[in-house]
Amino acid sequence: MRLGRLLSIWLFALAALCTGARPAAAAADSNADAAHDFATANDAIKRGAYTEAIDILELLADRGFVHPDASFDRALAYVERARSSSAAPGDLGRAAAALSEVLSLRPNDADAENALSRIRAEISRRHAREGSAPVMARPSLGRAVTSLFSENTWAIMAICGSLLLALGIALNRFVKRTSAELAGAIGIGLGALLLVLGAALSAGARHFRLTSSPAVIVTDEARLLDENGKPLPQKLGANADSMTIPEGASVYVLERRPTLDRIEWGSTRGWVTPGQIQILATR
Amino acid sequence: MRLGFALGAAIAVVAASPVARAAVETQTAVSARQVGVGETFVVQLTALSDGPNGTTATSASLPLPPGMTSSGANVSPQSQVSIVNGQMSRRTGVTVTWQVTASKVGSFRVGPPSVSVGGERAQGNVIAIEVVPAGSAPRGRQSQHGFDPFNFFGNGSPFGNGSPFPPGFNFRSPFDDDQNEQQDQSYPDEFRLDKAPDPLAFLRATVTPDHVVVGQQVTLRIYAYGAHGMFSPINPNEPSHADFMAFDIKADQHAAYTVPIGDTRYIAAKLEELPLFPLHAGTLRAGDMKMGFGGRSYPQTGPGLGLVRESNWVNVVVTEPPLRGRPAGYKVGDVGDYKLSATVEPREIVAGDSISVVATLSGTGMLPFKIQTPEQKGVDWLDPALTEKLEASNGIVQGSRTFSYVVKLSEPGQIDLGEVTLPYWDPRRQRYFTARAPLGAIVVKPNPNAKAAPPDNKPIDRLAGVLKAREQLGPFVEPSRPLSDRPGFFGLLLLAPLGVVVAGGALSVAGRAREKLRQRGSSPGAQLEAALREAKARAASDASATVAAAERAVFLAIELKLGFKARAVLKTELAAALTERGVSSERAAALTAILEDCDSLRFVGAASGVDPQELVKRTEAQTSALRGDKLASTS
Repeated sequence: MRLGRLLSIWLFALAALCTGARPAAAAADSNADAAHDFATANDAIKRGAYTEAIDILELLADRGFVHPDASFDRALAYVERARSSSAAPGDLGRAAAALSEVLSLRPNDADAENALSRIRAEISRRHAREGSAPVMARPSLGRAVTSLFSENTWAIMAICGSLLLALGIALNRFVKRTSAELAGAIGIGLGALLLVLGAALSAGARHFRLTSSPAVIVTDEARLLDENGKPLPQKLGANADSMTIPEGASVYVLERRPTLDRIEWGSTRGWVTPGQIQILATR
Repeated sequence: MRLGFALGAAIAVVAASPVARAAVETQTAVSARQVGVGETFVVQLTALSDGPNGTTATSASLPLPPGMTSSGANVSPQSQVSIVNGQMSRRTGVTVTWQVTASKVGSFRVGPPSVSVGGERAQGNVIAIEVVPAGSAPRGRQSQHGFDPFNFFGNGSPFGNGSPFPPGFNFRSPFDDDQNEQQDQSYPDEFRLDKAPDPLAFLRATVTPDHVVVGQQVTLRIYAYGAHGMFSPINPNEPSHADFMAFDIKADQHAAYTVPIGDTRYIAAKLEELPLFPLHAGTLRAGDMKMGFGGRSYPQTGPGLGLVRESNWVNVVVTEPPLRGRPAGYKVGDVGDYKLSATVEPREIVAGDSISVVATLSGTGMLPFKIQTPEQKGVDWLDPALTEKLEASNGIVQGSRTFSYVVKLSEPGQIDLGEVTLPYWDPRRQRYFTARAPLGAIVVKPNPNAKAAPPDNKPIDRLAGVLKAREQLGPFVEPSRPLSDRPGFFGLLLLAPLGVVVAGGALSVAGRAREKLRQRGSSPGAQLEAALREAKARAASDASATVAAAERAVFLAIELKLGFKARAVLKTELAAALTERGVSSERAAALTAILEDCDSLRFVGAASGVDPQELVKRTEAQTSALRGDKLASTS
């Protein structure tokens, strides 16, 4: 009996070693490589070799390494290159994309939030200097409401509503005291409200998360196109720039094709070429 | 190739004009569409008819615009015998030739040439001619081998070998068999086909290779096959290749061959050979070239269109090179096999001056337009001037591109410039490589005349210091999976309230059931049954309990049936009382007898002679019978 137990433990350990140890070792190697590349990129930034740093950090991201600090330094490299004589079009947009990525991975990063607003303000200022009117796009109502809190917050609200509703029903049903019945009625009303609201918004947030990817415009501006790649007609009475998305603007990618991506910008939908946007890495 | 084709078409295809009238067929040809001032070109009108008098020609005319002069018309009779599907036909006619000299630069419309043949007027097509300054007109190229369906001017003669039509318009003749047999043996393998998709004429597109990475060269080839002899291309369009960058090969014209497919011999020629470079990943399409087959034996799809045919589409599966081993700075699309070299001069300057860096990238592939330059503080690389020399040798695009940079050095000292690099993917070796050219060091002497720029002149830098580098990767807890992604999350939300509701309902049902049971236990019927059960149970052991139970059963049966509490009545009067209430006298007597026996057994015991078990049976039988009895009507 004891021998059998020992044998089974040994077999289990062997199986775990075969299945789990190798990926774990590979992951450790990968993280070590990423840390090395990150350090190399940092050195390049210090030397003023911003393009080199950008290349390293972009490659790191292409390999699937997602870390808010790597995105932060990528943003820094783009901003510094934008300030240098070797600035490339779209550098500030890419910096905004990298910072948006930081905030999606670490929502309470105050430095990233502050830098993002300053970069967007600088983009707007440069556009205004070139004669373009600043274009504000309000998000669709559904997105605006669901993005008030995180998806998990809505889910927790729904769970609380569910429990409160259950408690209210129980009080109302099983306790034959006036005060308990009153508390039960309040619990039922409030619980039902929280449950419906939380579940609906949680489902909505989940739907948006699964059907669209956040992205940022990384070219000087992106003209909205139709499905065939022709510019969308201007809406009646709309600003002439209303079909042109400024650099650094947040959009959502709804569909991807080899030559065009369908995006939602505010409540407007259209197509842009893939090179005009950068999809944010999320986990 | 495209230029070659265009040139050939310009030289050869003026018009395969269908028919002036039903019986006369005309062909108009010109030796060049673009000529220099002072140069002579030849316009030829050939008219053939089925009738016997076709060789009699009169009134040949060629209207000319100002700035052009022509010699007189030279008329020569022609006859042609052709055998198609075993049917021999003979056609006769004339060929009228004009030599035209241009004396003015510009675009002109010549013609239409016309001639009367056998009493019928035959008219050709108007020809557009562009006259350019002397010496700048292109020269036609000679076919290298085989025969060219588009070259009318081979062998030094404007229309070659005394043929009534340019070779491109010749129909197959039985007298050409020897020549064709020779070419059957020698056509290139790329023309070979097992099955023809169209018995008359077709275009065929191929692409090689068909699985590549973004930026790797593929070659699109379009072939034309005509089963009814020689043909001329009419309005050929460029094949579609929207997802590719095309390299324009200025190649010689390609020859045509006789290619047997099944039992049919086709005249085949390669129309296009286009090196293409895919611009993105995916399954990309190319091809769909449209062209009319012009020639007397080819039916017309529409006036002047020839027999219009479209090529097939071809698919190219394009992927990105692998991420594994990808060097930093690699740009998707940089594919080929490259080498970099660079020259730098001067090597010694004063701070603030510039040096020249000339980097030459050479190799095979679509040479990238950008290479990586080293960056460091105090070294500014201005945008380079590019020169290039690209060609397609044996269909492979190769050459060199030179990047000439002006580099400004502002900091004194010995500056090591580093190296210019280009990471690329080599599809042949299936690996990434980096082409490098070291630039060496520059001695930058301090500039004694340099003046510091006044700080006021600098534009306000609003982004200065907006971000500070993060030296290390900080702790990062990956966000957990959202709660709503967990299976059954939304169902579980309803579980608690529904559970309470269900539990409450269950408790309520249970309470109701209990109440029903309780109510059922206190009814006279239930008590009667309980009393009978007790009497039966005690009959064997406890006579007094049996008596009590049997007596209770009788009274309960009476109460149940009549709603009458018989305990309050003297037993001696009970029978009368029952009879009064409609019970039969026999039943009343029997019930009274049971009660009397109960009394006897209770007070006398076994000596009374009453058997408790028999008493119980009787009680059971009489109470049951009473419950089933019909009551008699009472007054």
